[in-house]
Amino acid sequence: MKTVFINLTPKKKNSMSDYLLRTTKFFTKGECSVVNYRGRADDKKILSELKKAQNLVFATPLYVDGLPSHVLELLQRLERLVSKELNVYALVNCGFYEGEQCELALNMIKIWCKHSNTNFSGGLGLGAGEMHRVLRWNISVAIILTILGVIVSTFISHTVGISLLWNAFGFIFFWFIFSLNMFLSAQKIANSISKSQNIGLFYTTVSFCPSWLFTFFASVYWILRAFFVHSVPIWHMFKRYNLK
Amino acid sequence: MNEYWITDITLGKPQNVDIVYAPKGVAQCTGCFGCWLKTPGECIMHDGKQGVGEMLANRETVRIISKITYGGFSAPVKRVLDRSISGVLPFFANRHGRMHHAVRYQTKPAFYITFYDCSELSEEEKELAKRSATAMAINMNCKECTVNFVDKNICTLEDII
Repeated sequence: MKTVFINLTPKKKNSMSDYLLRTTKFFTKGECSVVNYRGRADDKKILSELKKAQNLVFATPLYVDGLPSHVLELLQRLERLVSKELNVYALVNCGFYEGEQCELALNMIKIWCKHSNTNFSGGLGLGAGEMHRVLRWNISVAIILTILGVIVSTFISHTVGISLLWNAFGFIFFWFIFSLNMFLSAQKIANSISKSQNIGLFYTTVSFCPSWLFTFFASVYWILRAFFVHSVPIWHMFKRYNLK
Repeated sequence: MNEYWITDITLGKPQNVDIVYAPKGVAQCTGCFGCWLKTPGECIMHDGKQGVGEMLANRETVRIISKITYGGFSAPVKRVLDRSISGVLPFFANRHGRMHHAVRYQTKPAFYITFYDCSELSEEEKELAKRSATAMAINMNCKECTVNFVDKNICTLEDII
């Protein structure tokens, strides 16, 4: 049983679609291959991978309540070229809290399956995509804190070193706790992919984090990222243009 | 200039309409969030279409004419819409019982959306197109959103107005 994952994000690295795709692939049994779609030049690669495949998994972000334009272009080109025996799954992530907002994009892929006569076998809609993506940095921070903690506790101060190690644990703990729903959902859809079963549409979002807390985290994140990455202060973020 | 059109077919410029924009050679959104964080309110790709967010969110009337594609907008129209998130803020607000982006402009545009080439399509596909277009309009803080379907595979001005 071969499964082909197509990563449809336009981002070159560190995308949430790639993260969700690789998490799902981790739990998927059988032969798996990943194609990072970058443009029309990758069509041949996709079709060649699909030749011996039974399952096709699209991983895409939600753009303005639908599929991104480059995904629509790819789907239109693939429509008449894919095998009718394919079982198609979709992994869609959005920045909003509710994973249900991905339902529109998931149903668009379902309609593509009707047009291409393939079997739509289910999809996962994941909310809080950007939060999940950023939470991954907790792992890097935890590794740095662990190394620092060991060095400090050995050579400088045992108390400060232990404190750093506890902080490292905290970063890992929150990454795991908030991402738990995503891991469980990825495993759920991976089980269906492994057996080529129909799972229907289902949705999830960040675990143990109510929407008001998500909104607070997101606001702080955007403000800090604008300021520290682009040197844009908060009051400039509300800038209005009037092109009339 | 209070009316803005996006079409994927060539249409003449009707009276009282300021811009009829048939997208050609528009760069695709790269998901960088630069329009929220680096140059707030404007896309960082300066290809002449960087202000599309303002054009969608700060007009009295927005009209979109698109071929229906998998229960949504066609790829050329979607290229423009994908570039429009600069019209809203990265922050969140609840509207119509769901989380949406907070508004950058106080204008409440009226959206009129026409999907054509619908003759052989199922009700499911039309219903999905209506829901996805309305969701996009709500995200742009619309006053109202009217969705029409035209069976013909080409759309003329008479079909729209």
